[in-house]
Amino acid sequence: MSDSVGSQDAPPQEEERIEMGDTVLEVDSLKKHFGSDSGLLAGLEFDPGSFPPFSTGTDQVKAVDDVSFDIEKGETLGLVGESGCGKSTLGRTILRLLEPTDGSIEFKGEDLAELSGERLRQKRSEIQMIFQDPQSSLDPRMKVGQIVEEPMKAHGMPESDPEVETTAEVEATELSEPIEVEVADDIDMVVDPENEVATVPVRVTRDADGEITASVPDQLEADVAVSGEGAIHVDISVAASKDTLRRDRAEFLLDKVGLDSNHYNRYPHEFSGGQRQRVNLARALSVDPDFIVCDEPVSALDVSIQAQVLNTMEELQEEFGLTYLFIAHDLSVIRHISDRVAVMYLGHIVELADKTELFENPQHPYTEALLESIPVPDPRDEGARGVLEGEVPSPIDPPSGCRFRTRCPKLIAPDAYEFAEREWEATRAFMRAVKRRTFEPAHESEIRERFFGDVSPRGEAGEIVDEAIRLVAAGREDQDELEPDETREAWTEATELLLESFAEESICAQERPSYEFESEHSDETHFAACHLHR
Amino acid sequence: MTEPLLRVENLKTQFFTETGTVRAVDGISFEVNEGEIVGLVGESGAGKSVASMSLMRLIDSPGEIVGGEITYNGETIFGLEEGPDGELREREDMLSPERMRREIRGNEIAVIFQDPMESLNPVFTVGGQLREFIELNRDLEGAAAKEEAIEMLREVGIPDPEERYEEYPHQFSGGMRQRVLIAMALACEPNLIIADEPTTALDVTVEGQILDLVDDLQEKYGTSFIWVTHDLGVVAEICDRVNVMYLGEIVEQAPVDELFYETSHPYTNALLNSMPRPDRTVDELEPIEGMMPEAINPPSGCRFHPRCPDAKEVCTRVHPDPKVVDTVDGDPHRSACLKRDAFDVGYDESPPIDAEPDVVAAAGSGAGGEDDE
Amino acid sequence: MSIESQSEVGDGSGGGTENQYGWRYTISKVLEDTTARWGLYVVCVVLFISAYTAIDSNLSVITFGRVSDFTFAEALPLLEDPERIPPPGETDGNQPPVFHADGSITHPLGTDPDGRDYLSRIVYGAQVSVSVGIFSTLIGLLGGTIIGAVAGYYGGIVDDILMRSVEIVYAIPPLVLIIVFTVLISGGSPDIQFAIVGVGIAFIPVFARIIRSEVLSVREMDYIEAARASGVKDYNIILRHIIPNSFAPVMVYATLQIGVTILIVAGLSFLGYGAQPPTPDWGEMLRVSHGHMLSNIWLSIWPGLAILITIMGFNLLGDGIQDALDPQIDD
Repeated sequence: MSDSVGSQDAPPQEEERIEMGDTVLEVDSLKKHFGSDSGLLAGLEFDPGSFPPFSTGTDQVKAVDDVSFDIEKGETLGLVGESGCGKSTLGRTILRLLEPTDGSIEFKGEDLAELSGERLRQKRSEIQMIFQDPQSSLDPRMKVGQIVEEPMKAHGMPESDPEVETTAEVEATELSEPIEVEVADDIDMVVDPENEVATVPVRVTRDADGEITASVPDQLEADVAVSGEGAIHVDISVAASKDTLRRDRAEFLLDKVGLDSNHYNRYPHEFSGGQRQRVNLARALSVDPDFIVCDEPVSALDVSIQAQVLNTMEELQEEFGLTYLFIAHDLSVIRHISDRVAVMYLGHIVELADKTELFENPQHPYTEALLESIPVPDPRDEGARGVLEGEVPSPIDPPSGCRFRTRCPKLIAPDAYEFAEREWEATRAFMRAVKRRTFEPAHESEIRERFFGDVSPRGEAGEIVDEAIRLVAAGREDQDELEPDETREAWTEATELLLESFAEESICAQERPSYEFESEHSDETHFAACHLHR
Repeated sequence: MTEPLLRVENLKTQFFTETGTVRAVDGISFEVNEGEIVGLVGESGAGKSVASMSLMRLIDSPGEIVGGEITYNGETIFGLEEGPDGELREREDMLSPERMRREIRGNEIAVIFQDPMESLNPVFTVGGQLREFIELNRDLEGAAAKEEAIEMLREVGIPDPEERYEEYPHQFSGGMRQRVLIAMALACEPNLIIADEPTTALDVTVEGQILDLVDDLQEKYGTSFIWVTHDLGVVAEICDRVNVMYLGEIVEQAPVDELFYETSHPYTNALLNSMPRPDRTVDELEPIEGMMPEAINPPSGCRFHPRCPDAKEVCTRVHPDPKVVDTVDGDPHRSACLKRDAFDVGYDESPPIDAEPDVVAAAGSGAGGEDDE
Repeated sequence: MSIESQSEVGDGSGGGTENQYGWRYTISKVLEDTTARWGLYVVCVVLFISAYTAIDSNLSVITFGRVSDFTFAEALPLLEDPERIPPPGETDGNQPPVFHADGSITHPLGTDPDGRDYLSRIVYGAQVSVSVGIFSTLIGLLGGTIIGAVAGYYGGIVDDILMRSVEIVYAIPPLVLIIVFTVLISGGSPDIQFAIVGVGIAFIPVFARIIRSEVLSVREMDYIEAARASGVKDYNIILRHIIPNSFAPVMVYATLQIGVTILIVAGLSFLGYGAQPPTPDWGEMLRVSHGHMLSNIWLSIWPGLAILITIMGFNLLGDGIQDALDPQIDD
């Protein structure tokens, strides 16, 4: 492991010694943009309106856009968001299954974004992934044993670490002769080293026939020779081939993840979804990684099986000191398994905080909306639902500033106008209704009554609102009957007027928010990307 | 009490496959009253989708409804009687396939499926499909049907319906497509809508919007719903009464509040305990041990006994049919657990079973069979 | 955890009793299908005959240093050396088959214009046709698999370059292409082995396209990504995951393709670009018989029938394999 990486630029000590609680992964301003098309002629557009009638350049889908966070060893960071928010892309970019567009991914002091080729491939033994779909994540033509062993083979494991010293602890019974033990360098493939020293327990005895024998753990062998002076010489070496050692480890891991070592020779189709996810776990663990990206690992499973797998994942984390990045859309699962939680919306992290803090004291309107939307398995819970209007905007052309502002129920009033709170609320609702065309053209007074009731914005804002109402109102004085096209134009005009005057003027549209403050429920800082915290 | 809108009695649907008879639905009984939302909850393989399709007589070969009675609004959707030669045959008052198609499906009972993309034809416009559906099922033609279609789209909260009428299904988001399906289901003003996991594929915020919409529409039209789902959260949000299914049977039937607060069947209880909660942190989940057996060869006695924490020896022998254990506001709370007093089969005296040997034996034979191959 | 693990084991048999991806399963499925079974019978008979004759001619070369003494052929009184031109007077040329009034039992299918026994020539022709079919299909399969798998797996510019060049080849009418290839490779003196290579190369694009489209769908599978995430080397991913999982439809196509190549090489021989006289090849025999249509129609009918039956055998078998591998029909 270490020889491949350590010999070049980064000093090996730094990356080997990561204690519990130290930062193991630090993602900084990570971006992943996709060209929306690919191929030889992609990006070449025929555009008859211009000269030359071709244009190049593709729209960029900004799936992950400037994301930063870090993860400590041994913790679980939950990453939650709705479909299309970029959470899976983020996970795959961290693993370098996708090329990052920009930014850095510091893993144990080395920037994964800079690595390539063979060095990246070798680094992969330290970061693993678990996939969502238990069906397609296992090769149907391979036996479970082969599947679990494959990553070990790819990294030439088990492998002896040249920095680990080997020694033996001799226990001799009823023997007076001096015992000399020689231990092979590679026995750390079998015996787990402690503080860089692998110690083999050896028991040397004289059996009934007077022969001297030495017993060593499985997979090792001991050669005993008695020299002329009566000194006993014991040679300890690895008896099993690498294949046997791999098989042993595969069976050990199958057992660990809650399967049976007999399953070694079965095909994936003989297993249920939950069991397949366990095979996935065993495969990920086979190369002894430090960090595992779990991409919706339980969302394809039934509730009762989900609980089994989640429990196993927690046990494994404890036993092997694993660090998880746990990606899910299900807030209940996230709440159960995470230590800290990051909420993603349209390529940005909008809130990141300790689990309890985030669930009990959410500070971003999007997090609040998500939390309120989950159906609670309690009929007496009178939660609101359907709190969010509209749909997620396209990641090709995301809103400026705060990306959630187009749906945010707490969009901040622009400073340019003087709004009383209720006036702004009414204006905001009206603006969105016009933009989405959720109401039918009605008479001016009806519209005013429906959206504004007894409030009416004053001053310049009032004039703009009046103008917009006039545009969308039916039965305008200047024209008796409008053609559909003209109605559409009028609506577009009103929408533009409102958006430009109000939405675009709000601080939410002009600056990207990023605020950190003290948590109420923990010692960690609480990050929320919302201008309400200015 | 008035006659329920839909009454299902002892319904049995089986699939005859090469490897044996799969008893997908094995003798379930429930009722749907007018204007209520009845939940059908269970894990995958519990038979809830087959049960709901049986109500429409939409079971394809090798599946077949083999027993029971389904009565809708006084009409017999399915019923058997004993013929002169002792064979079971379809009753005369049972609706003909033609009348099923013309009068019941779509008009009286409509279905909303889980995947809206599969239910809409990708090569026709959304509006066109809705209009055609209205023309077929109601006495409306051309422009009137189109107007009605736009009106329906507006009704289900699709913004700018005139514009979107001309668009194709792929131009709609998942939530919007599901709204279109709801519009389609509502188009003929049916009395009963079967919703088969309609929000499972949707994001949680969109799911909230759809649940809101269903609540509003239900209030407005008084439509009854059978809501098929695996999500107890959704059940708690929307259902009035709930049927919990396990391996083709209804194990518990209760008003929703009763189900969550006076849980009677160990399976329901185990389901609730195995769920991570969004509203509080659970330190240790209690998973249900093992997994649901195949419906081809269900366990003897109570079907849940191999996984049940409270199973006793008697549970392996006696098969419990749901019995009333309580009555709340006139609605019965039925439970199929021998623990309840309504069953007098000596549960308390019965020796506890050591679940492990049984399970291990089954495992051993399974593994052995595999190795022989 | 141990209890949990044991309780789930029982399910091991639940997912499906047979491995739908195993060879044994496929073969049993093929055998269940009557048409496929008939195809298999025909193919087996043809394979047996060609194997027999191949061993026979090679053995005689090894033992006697020449092809003319046919060791096993002599054991069967019906067969003779297919290439030996009998001296004048030994047999009549253009003798009709046995059921004809002028036919004789010594030459059941008659003789060709040079007086050689036609049955022997048809039987030994199987060897040429089958090896042509199998070897040129193998060349196409191998080349196509490599190109298709690499193009499909890497995508992007690699894909573009490989597939566009393959498509250029694809755009040329195959027979023209094959003739040009064959003439180029053989350097002007055509023979059957050059035809085999030529046909093989000409069919690389077809296989490449099939493999590539399969690879494109297999590539999206999570297990490919899992292998990449585990640091498995690219060529191992292609060899161990991509190719085995995209091979099934290609197998079907290859079986069908054997029939097609036999036909094409027969056509080449007919045109004079394939087997050269006196090699007993069905296509070449058709070419020779062409000039004797009016005097002895049977000279054309026998090799034609042989080609027809062989090709039908491979096609029926191919269809059967396709049905066996198609999960939709299988349900």
